[in-house]
Amino acid sequence: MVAIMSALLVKPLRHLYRITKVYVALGLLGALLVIAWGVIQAHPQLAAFLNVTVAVIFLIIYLINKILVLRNRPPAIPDFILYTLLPNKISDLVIGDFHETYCSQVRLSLSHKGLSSRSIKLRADLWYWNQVFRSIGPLLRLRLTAERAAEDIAERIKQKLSLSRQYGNITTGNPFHDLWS
Amino acid sequence: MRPLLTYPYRLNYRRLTFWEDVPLVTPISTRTRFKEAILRVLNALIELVAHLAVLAALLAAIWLLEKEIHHFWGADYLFFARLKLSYIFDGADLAILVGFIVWGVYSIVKAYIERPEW
Repeated sequence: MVAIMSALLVKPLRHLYRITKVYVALGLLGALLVIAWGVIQAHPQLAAFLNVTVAVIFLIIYLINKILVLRNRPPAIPDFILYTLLPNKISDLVIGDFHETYCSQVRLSLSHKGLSSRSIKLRADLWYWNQVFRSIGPLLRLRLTAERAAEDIAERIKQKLSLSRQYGNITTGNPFHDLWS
Repeated sequence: MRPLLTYPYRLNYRRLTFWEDVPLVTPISTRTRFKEAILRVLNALIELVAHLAVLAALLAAIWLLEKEIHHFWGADYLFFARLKLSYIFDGADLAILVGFIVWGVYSIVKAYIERPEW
């Protein structure tokens, strides 16, 4: 019975209500635009004032957004650790991905009603700290091996150059051709 | 109708039939297709009627309001000695009609295109 009532009465009425809302909003917008146009026609000096007002409103919205974003910022110390340990070329990408996941966690938890905002922040922070703590070892190892590889390459280039000097020819081809053999 | 026995004629061991006999798309009867087409048209018509009803109600309400205000203030009342009173109502009418041309037509076409619920 309830299902039939819903199908016959509630759903169409909801649909009509939605359509009405949109058209009423459009009508009001049209009337307001005409009024604004008339006001500007009557007092052209008001146009600049209106521009400034609109700019100030947008600035306030932007600042509120910024403040909200800054309040949900991930903790700074793990960021610093990641910046120091990650290779420079990918550090921004990796940290950006971490931030994105952190923010999405906060946002998802905000939609869940059982948690206070403080505990949401704490949970996301703990997740971030955990991730960074577990990445310290592998990142250090990567850094050391990379340095060792760089030293190896430099040594090979030196050898190559000295050989070519010995034989009096600088252009002996690719200095890396036997690197992986 | 069975296809002619030509090479390659692959056997489907699981169904004990030939692959060529297995229809790729589940066949729908003409009756069902006809029902679906009728439902699509009905949905589009319902959408059109709903939009037109709301449009008519709103335009009538605006017209009545305009009449009433004209009765009190006079038809040639000027805001700021420049803006005619009737311009405001015309603006509202125009916005609603443009909205119908864009959003109404879109939702009618959408109601026709989307799969009807049985």
